[in-house]
Amino acid sequence: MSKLSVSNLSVEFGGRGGLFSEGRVVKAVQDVSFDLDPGRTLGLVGESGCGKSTTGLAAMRLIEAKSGTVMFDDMDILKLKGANLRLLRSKIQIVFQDPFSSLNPRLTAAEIISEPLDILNVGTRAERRVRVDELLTQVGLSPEHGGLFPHQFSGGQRQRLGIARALAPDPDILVCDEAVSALDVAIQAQVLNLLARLQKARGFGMLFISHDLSVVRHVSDEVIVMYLGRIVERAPAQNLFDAPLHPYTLALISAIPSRDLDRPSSRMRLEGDVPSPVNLPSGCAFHTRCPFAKDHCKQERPELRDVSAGRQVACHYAEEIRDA
Amino acid sequence: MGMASENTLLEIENLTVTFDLQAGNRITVLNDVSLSVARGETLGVVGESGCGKSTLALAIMRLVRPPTGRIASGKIVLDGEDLVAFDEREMRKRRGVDLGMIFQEPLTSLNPVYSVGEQIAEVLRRHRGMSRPEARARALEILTLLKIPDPADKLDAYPHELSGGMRQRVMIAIALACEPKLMIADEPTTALDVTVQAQIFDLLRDIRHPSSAMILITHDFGAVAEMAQRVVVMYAGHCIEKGTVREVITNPAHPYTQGLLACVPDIADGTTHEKGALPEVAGTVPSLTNLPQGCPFSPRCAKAFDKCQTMPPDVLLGEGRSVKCWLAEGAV
Repeated sequence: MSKLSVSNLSVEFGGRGGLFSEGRVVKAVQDVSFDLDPGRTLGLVGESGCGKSTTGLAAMRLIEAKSGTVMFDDMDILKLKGANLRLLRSKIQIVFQDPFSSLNPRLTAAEIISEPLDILNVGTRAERRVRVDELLTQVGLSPEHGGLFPHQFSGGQRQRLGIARALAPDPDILVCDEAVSALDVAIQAQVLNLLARLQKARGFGMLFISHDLSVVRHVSDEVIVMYLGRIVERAPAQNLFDAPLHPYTLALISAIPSRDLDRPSSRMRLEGDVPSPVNLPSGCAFHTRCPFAKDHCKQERPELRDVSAGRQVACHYAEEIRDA
Repeated sequence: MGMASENTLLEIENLTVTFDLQAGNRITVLNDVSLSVARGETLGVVGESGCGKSTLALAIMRLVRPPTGRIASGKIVLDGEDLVAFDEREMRKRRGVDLGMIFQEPLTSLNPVYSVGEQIAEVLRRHRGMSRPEARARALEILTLLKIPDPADKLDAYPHELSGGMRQRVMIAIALACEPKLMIADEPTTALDVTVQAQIFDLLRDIRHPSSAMILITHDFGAVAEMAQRVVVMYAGHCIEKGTVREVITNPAHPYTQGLLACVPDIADGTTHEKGALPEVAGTVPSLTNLPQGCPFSPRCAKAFDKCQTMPPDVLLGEGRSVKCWLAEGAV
């Protein structure tokens, strides 16, 4: 059994009919399942509003899921309460996108990193101080940085602090929610290498949520592509990029600008924008933008089905499109 | 970049822009920048945050203004006329007509209380002297050209009612309304999803008048490869490398350009680096208030040597191809 096993996770927002709400329900995540093991990296990609961040947050119960199970070893995270939940939180940690707003501006770097250890009552004060210094060093800062406040760091350094904080309770799973997206490209490479080194040394599993497919290709063992709240394709990273099966994956990959000047220019283009998740299209949610869509796609939603070992796709005509 | 030929639309010569900070500090945001753009061409300007690429756009538009910002020296010659010599009154006539600009964030760049149609028509009425109905009809034509679905309905829509991609199309419509000679696009797709970015890039390629030119400011070499013919790489206010896109991407001369190209994974790159082994550019971009002596990249440069304590000159490597690096001097 996997360390983290997410089954049929669904998340909905709204629907309570508050003052300004019209009682509409946003089906942010629907029926998402995946497994994650220590030392492995699972990439979660898609465009804004596809539910990739919500999936990550719901899996660690930072937002409540509507249904599904999230098994960590033999415990269902979605059913845990009080002290057990707090203890489990130490096992799944998160690095957020924005290193400016995700660190408390009134705490020093050392206090920020120490906070999860204080809350969990790990060791003595002196031991925690030693641990903080170790963590600062491991993320490429130095113990002297411990006395500084977040605004005294650059964006890249702040993200290193965010990583140190997340790793403080020694988690088994690290969720990276667009963790390098706000960084300049040269800094991005430094932080990606840091994450890979730390993962190798500590063996945590990583759920790497990003809109940047080039980065996801580099870091991931396996990749899940989401569109409007559902998984449309899952594959080992190499296979996904070499031979995408879902027309959306195909479009996503061919939309990314490449430095390869000899790349064929006749690439697949999608029309229009992603539809609103409040008003999902019938059948396959992608049919409104899919150049291969047929009548059947408007009527029946394709289930996520096995194509080959480790590969799944939610498209009625994936093989036909591939072989065409 | 070489002599100003008849085909040159924009020629920037030795442009230096400074900003006054609090406490009497003055920083040099653009330092002796020279570049040119030919008619019909797209020039990519690449660099990380703080390299001066957006200030370059603002300087060309003459939107760098006292008391904080000033063009300390240099020329910005558009079609034979030096924009630096113009007063604000004259510049107002040029913006929109000679120079169009597309900003990064379409939501904050559009006026929330005017409809899309009114905002496009405003440019046409002001600069082309069109009547209201004429301007509205032309606005509809432009929206149709930009492949905006239901263009007639969109004329009466307000920015908040549109998606990010549609808003950016409206920005393009406004910039395009008077068919400017030079279009400056400052990170036009950064706020957009990739499939929408691809649409906008296609559009920017398709709609360009053959005699007009475009400057595309971006941090993404992939975008440069797709859109531009020539490229300028910027670092800490300096143009550190110039050349055709193919030359710079396949054979970068400056150690910074080499690092920038190597450290970003590319989607079409089959030979992926092992995890954790992305080539890094060590360190961070220096603060403009505390620049190192000589070459601003030297503290991060693995190849730096004693000569780098002095600012290197533009070393000419070929026609329109140059690099600011002492290493190249020896190689020529």
